[in-house]
Amino acid sequence: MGKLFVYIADNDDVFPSHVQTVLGYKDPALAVCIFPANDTSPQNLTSSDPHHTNSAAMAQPYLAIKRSTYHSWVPQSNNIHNEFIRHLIRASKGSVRHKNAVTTFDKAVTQAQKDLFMSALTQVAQYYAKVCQNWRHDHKLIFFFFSGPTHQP
Amino acid sequence: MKTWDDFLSLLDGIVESPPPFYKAELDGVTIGEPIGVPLYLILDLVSNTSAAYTLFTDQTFNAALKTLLLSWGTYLAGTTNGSNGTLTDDKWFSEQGLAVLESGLGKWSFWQTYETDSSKAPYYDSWDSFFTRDFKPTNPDGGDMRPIQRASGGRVFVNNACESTVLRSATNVQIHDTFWLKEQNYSIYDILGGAAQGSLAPQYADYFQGGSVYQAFLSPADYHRWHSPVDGKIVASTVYPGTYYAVLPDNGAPPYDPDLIPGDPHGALIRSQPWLSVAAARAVYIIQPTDANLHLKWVAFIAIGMAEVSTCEITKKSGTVAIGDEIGMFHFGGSSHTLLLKPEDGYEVVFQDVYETPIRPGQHRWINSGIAQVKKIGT
Repeated sequence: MGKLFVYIADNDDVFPSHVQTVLGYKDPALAVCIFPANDTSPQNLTSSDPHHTNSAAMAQPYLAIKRSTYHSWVPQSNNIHNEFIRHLIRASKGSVRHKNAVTTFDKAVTQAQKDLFMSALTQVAQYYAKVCQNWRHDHKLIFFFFSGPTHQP
Repeated sequence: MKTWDDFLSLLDGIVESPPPFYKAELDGVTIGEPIGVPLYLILDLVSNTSAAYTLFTDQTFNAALKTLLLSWGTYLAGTTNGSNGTLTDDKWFSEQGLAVLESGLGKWSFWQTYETDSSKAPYYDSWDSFFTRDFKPTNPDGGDMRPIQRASGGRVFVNNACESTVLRSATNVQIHDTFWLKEQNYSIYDILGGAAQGSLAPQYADYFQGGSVYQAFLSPADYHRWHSPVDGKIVASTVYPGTYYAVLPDNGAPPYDPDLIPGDPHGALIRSQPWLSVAAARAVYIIQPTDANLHLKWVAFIAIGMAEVSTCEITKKSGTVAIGDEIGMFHFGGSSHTLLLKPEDGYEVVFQDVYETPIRPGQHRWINSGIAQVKKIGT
């Protein structure tokens, strides 16, 4: 028995090219792919994007993903800027003593200013919560089941 | 990033390292992207909130931030570790890195275009030396690397003061104007310093009433020195501290944004550029043109530090200056610049190049190239 692999696609990483890549790499006996979909008409897919065109051809009539605000809010695997920030977060883990310049900066900032910074972070978190809530309202989940080794639906 | 301490930890990773260059695989192709303004990437989303607007326009907070940025600037100017492994053949000088650095250079390569401190990696003594690198005087064909388009066929031009991409231009700018979210007008008084200590505005704002304004921005790969746009005399110059990460909070990217989907809240700093001309750290020059054929009374050049620019350095503070002369430079970070142009009575500024092609947003323009003429109204 192979591995069970669950793949959650975002709006661009759509079936089948990305999924086949994943399946080929993981070589699972069974995969469950979960696609967010807010429309079931494949013609809404972007015809100029070969991924989408292929997806439309192979996934009809079940799958149609069109762009939504969800896409812009979730870090994407190919987003280098997000990769950089993740690198910084990894590098900063375990840091107990800040660099001198950072310590000086921390001492120069008042508690009221730090509170404002936290308010800004809270507002960003509220953005995310609102967008994710809208996304859940706007999408329904469609399940696809695959079995190996041909990786065909 | 969930807490203030998280922010400090992220700063730890930035203030003692140079801006990195990343490579990644995308659909089987290796792509590269500069992280020219790493601190901005952390604060991009945060800045687009009302709380951050209050914080990032707070003078005492910006004073603390400036101390931090100056410390980072000192590190980046250091000859022992300022480039710290990033100016290498697999990062900024990789195939992908050079593609970025050469994107606005025309047919010449990076090495054909720019001076270096050394012929061996890392080629520059520090990150700052790389960032403020100078052009070679001549190109491989023997011509000027950045020819000055002084005059042609009886026409006289205002030249581009920075190697940059056009943002927009406007006419009939007012001494006092308001900055609304979607319609960011230019306010001369505030651009020239407003109520700041030592402001040039009380003395010079009236000179530019009803004039024209041009704004363009620099990419991390661009040349970062400033050249005089006209023959003239610098009658005043100064640097204002200003903001470093403040933006006008908005509802996200507009439908015509080339990179973001509508409503994406990233990039508010980019969308706030006209407003940054009155708010951000900046250097201001007042220049009195001396070429009577230009029909221009006054020119103001404003070098705007958009994000994490600790230093807008004025190298030519006053006196006579020739078109194309170097007058200052940015030291690291993201930047923009603005020209205020006040024509003689009966004349108007027309933003077009030497071929009379209109100057349009999105065009990358070489420094020293003609970007405007002054024409008699109705001709």
